[in-house]
Amino acid sequence: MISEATDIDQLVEDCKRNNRRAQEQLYRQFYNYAIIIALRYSRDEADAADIMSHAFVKIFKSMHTFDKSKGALQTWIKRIVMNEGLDHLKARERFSKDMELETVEEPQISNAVLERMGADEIMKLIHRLPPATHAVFVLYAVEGYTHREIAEKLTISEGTSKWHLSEARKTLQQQLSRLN
Amino acid sequence: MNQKALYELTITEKLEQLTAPDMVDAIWARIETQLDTDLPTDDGPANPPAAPKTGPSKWIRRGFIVAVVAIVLIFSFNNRKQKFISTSQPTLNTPVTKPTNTDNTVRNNSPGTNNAITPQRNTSALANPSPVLPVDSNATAPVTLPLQPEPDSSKLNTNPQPVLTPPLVVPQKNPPSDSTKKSRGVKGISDNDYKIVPKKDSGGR
Repeated sequence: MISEATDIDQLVEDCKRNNRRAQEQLYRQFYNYAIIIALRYSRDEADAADIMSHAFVKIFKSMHTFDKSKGALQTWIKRIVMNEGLDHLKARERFSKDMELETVEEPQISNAVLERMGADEIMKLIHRLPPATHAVFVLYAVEGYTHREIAEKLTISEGTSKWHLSEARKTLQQQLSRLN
Repeated sequence: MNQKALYELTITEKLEQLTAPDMVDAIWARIETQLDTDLPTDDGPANPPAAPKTGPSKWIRRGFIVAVVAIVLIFSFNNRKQKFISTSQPTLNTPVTKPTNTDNTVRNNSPGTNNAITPQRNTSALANPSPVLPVDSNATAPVTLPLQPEPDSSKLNTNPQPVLTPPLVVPQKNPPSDSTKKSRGVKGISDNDYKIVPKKDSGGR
């Protein structure tokens, strides 16, 4: 465990010196972890590949700003990949600020149906959501952010974030009811 | 952190089980290409020939190299040309000045000019650029002698006093030989010392 940590520290130092081999090694080490995050914010695999390439270029360019005393490298990489994914979603659609909601409706979504589904099928359901709704749903339901945090991230109001979450739940319920 | 519903927890768990698509190398190639342009390394990219092999950059580099070589060649050629001109100029000037002197001497030798001046210019031009030689040097006399007889012969036919000129020329021809003889002989002894003068009182009459 200690040797692994020192290996990553050494990799980070080499990446800060713009060593291409170290950069490739770091990328390959965190590929599986990062591509799954990228897939959550993308429509398909090609979209995820775009997010990954842009995110890792940013990672290597700003590697000198990474401070391990402030957080783990994995958390730092996740934040960059997630922000890149959100930028990708924003580029697809201007996030509407007109729709606002005071309270989020909670439609009944069958957990039994979800458990029978595979990960790829669930991902496809999420990909069908409109970009803004997709972003809010992933941030809230998967990443666990609050509406205040989502509002700050997406520069929208909390009411808009709640509206998008409500829309996402309705859409998923409709799709799952068809499958059921 | 919000409080997740049961179905949200299930979705999160399922998404964690996603299998990563096999795009590791393809994505890395894109990242590397972007890094090579944005963050070039000192030791060069892992695949350096990829960029110059294709695209217009190859021709731009070749054109730049050709232009640099052409500029260097032009500069070197111009430098050699200037050196050649600078070194050849003094050699060209000296022959140009000599003919002018000779031309002047020829003009001065024309009839009607002073004969005593022309030989001095000829000798000075041939021997030294600066007029160091004396005006009445003995070596100058023989040079002018072959040129003079023609006008003199014509003058002999026309003038009633032709006899005066030949004696003037002949003594000029002799002094060089005399001067050389004097240097060979003993100092203090002249020709008069060898003359036998008969004494008037020897007859006894």
